[in-house]
Amino acid sequence: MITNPKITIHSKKTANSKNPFLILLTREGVGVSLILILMFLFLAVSAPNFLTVGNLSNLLVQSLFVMLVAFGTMFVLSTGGIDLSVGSVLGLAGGVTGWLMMNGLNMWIAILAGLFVGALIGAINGLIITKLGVSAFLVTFAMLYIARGVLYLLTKDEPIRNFVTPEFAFLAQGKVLGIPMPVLITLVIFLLLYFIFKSTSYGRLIIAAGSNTEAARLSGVSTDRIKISVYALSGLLAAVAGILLTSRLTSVQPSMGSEYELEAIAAAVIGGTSLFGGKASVVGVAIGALILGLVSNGLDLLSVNQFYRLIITGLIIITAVAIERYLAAKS
Amino acid sequence: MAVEDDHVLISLTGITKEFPGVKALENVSLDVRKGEVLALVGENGAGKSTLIKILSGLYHKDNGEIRVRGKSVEIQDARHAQELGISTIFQEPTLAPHLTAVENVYLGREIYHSYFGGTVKILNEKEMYQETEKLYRNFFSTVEDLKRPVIELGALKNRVIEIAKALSVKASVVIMDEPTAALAEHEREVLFDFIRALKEQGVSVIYVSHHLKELFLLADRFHVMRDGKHIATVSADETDIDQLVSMMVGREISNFIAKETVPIGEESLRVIGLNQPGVLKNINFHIKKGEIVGIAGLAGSGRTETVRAVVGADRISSGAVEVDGKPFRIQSPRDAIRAGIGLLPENRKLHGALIEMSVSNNITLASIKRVLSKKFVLKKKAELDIASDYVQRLGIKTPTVHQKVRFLSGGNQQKVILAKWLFTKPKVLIFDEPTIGIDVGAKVEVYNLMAEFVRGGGGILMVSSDLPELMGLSDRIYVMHKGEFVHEFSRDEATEENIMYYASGGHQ
Amino acid sequence: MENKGLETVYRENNFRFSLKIDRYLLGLFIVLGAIIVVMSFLSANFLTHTNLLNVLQQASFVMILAFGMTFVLSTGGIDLSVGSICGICGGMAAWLLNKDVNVAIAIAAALLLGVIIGAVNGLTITKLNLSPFMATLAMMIILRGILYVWTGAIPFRSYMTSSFQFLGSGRIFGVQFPVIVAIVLLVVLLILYRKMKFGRHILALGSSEEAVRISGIKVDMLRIKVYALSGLIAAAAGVLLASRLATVNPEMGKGYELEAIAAAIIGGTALTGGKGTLVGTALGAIILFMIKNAMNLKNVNPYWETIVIGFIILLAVAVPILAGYIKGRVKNS
Repeated sequence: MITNPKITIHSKKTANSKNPFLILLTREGVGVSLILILMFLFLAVSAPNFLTVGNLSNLLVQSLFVMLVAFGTMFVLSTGGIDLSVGSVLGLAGGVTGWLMMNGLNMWIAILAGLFVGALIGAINGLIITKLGVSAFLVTFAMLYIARGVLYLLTKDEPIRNFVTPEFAFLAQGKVLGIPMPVLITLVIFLLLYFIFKSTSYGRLIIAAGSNTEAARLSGVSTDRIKISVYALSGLLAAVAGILLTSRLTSVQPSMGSEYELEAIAAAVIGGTSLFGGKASVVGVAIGALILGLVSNGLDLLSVNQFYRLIITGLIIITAVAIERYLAAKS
Repeated sequence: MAVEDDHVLISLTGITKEFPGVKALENVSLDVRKGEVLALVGENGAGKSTLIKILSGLYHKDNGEIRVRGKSVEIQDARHAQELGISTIFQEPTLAPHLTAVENVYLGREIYHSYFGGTVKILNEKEMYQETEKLYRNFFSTVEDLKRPVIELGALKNRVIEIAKALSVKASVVIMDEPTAALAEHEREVLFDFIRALKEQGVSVIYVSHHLKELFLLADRFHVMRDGKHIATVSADETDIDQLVSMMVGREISNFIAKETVPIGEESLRVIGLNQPGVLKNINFHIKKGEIVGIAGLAGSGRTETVRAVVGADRISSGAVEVDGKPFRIQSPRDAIRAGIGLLPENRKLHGALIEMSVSNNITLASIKRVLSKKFVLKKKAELDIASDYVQRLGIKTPTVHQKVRFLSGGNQQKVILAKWLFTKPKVLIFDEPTIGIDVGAKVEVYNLMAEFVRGGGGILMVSSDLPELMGLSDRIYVMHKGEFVHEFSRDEATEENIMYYASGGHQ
Repeated sequence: MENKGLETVYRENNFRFSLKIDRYLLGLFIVLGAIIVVMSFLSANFLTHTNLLNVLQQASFVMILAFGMTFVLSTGGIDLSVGSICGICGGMAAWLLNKDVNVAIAIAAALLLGVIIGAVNGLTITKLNLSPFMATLAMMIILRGILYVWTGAIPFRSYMTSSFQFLGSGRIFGVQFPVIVAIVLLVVLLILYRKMKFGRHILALGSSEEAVRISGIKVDMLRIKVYALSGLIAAAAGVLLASRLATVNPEMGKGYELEAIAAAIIGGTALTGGKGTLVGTALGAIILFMIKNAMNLKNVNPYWETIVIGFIILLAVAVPILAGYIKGRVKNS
């Protein structure tokens, strides 16, 4: 039996003799968890107000909006695409919900409408991207403008406010068993997504479509349908975040959610999502969003200018992606 | 060496190159004489590509000596190799598709006018064009299409541009790695004429190829390598294919592939009137249970397009597919799976396997519904059991089923793809170049697995450029020419000569 | 039709493709002409010397950025940091002028800063192996943060000198100086792009990196140079803008990267690299701003502007693809 010596040796190497430390780091979420723990410890020591229930719960709630959007971004990135429109979709979905309630519609119908708008915009993105073969960057970039513009039109006559009913406010401001509602909602979504990604055929097919679209298609995967659904999911999650944010802020500014796409991409890549598709981790992305929240919270507590947050975020992105690329090149 | 020194352009002695964990080259020596075609042959992993990469400056040797025209040199990088008169044409096309022939030939060595004491250098398009034209006249005696983007030109013209590019640096040695890979038969002839013309002008060629037969048309000497070592150098007049093969694999192997006879059953697949504008014209064929049916044809004759159209990978304008006598509408590979047809594509890494995913994930991908409970939840334990079962049955060499397919050898990758299709319980499997790039030993294993499938009542459609393989395995052979099925041979009628006669359009 | 075999089919198909860029440019001119004709009927103020110059003036900053973007896109890369570079380099010039530094030195320092930032982009992309999208996205965020911290969120003011003011507001023969800069840059860059080694290598790089590597060109160095050039051009736009606006607020140049990409895409440059046209880019920027101007004159609610821009981008990328569909393409798989 003749085998290629290079390949056999190579496969042995990756199976057995790899540095255990490297293997540990490449395990899902371990690397980012380490960063999170280190930052946590640092702040616990250097900022006396950090380890209080009030601050921690505040920090958590603040990270959730980006986290929700970032989950969607993660799904999109793992199919090898990108979704720049999520920030605008977030704003528009929140705006639609608020506007409908302001015009006297039932809260649940308004929420459903908001969610529908998000999913619809996402599905349109996906349709144009797959059926026309236009680059995802450009389509979602155009959609960023369009959705934002529609929100502007919604708010042009009068600002969207004074619509909040107590039930609606409860969504983002209420507590159940002492746990803030947004945390509960996000937790449920997190568990659901984790399950979908890890243990269902849908999650497997997303990864397959992302890692090699043509090979997946030839294996009978409906790659177009998968991609469209992923953009729709991304829009839907952005809408969830938008509605929660609307409930929390009790009004909708025309600029609500702008640049969330950047934060979401940052959280996703910090969480180990590859921009080249086929690799993602729900846990990692959740931690990525927490890290972004921690940076902002820490700067507040240490009374450092908030503007440093941008600089630190940028540096974390470069570091996270560089590490990911390095590890990918290693294996 | 027995040769007079002034005839030797390049001489390598004791070249050694190690990669982490692998000795790619061990004490390899080689001489290139003026105006000869030296064929570099060996199996995959024998060290041919490492050797030519060292010569072209992409790798640095660890040990040994390189002499160019008697002078000892250390080749620093690609440009240095060119300055020494060594140019390389790699297997993968390396032209910039949006640039023209002239622009490609002069890429990186542009001629320019200097203005303002050399601070502003404006490209001298005219001179570059004239020089390229002169080069073409010298070597190829035709000049055309120099100003069109090369993406618009065919494979042969692209190869010619690459050769022109190699020559334009005043190369005395041109290394060619599988230069005929993308060429049709008649284009191959043209290219060989060009290479002979180079020889006459005193240019030496190091020619790397797997096509031993083709090499005998061209080569003066054969340099045989195996496992990173130099095995022998023999003159073309003093050897034959059998001897070369046995030197390459280190043992005599039976070159004869025979399909075992299995009972032929009912018709399994029938394709009626398949049309794809400009590509396929009225394709009709059928396969019976227990049959292996071959499609022969030159590169570009539409073989791959035919099998892709059958499984719905590409759109067709008309045509029908029947499986077991029942019509199926096949518009996507997904429909084909439902109908019981699976395709093992030619390009395994790009279209066949998902190389970044694990062996088990690959095996269950095409029939993922069969490892689901409640319609969407994966039964992971069952999935692993199934994968392990196939790994064992097909003899897939992998440390675990969790290994990424990327790390497996070509033969084992092909077996993983086969396992994926077997798990869909197919009635018909279509193999596009089943053993391309697979080592001799693994080839036999793939043949055995194919035989096992037909023994179990399956039908196989197979596309292969390897005629002995095709003739050895097939019960019937269809021959394609320019997008049409032009002839059907029974097993006994088929010979290499009459297949080639129809494939190259001799019947018209 | 007789079956002429594969090669002929490909060739016919690709022949159309080669004409597409020129046709596309022609199409842009027609679109531009159509806008002008329609608007001259709809608004008396449109087809006036002053208004048209105004449009050019407004377009010039994005146009300049888009020139740099065209180079970057031609390599198959992207530079999202140009808006931030524009801001921070404008800030640099303003800050130095405020410290009474000589105008020429202040401008030179700002331009140098742009080159350095661009080179750092190139270095992270080539040496750390980051995708251009990620690397320049991070740089965009970092630079914006630095500008905020630097200004303390209070705009730089009182740095204007009469000579510096000329850059943004001066006129030569009645034409605003930024427009002149844009025109001169177009000519210079056109030579660089079409007639010099650098441009040739850039197009080759976007077309096939392997081809460039094998031709002995130092790919990493080439990439770094491209991003440095993009940084330099962005810095120039920043200096002009600092002069024009007379204040540098920390948001200066924000979102310009997107408008620059839009202009280049409308102009017919592909995101995938290998081809691009600077003239198209200039036209793209003019079309973009002419539409903004037209909506302004017709008193269309400014909120429509973003929607319209979104649709124009979609249209610009969809038209060539749809045209390809209609002409019937042959799958070459």
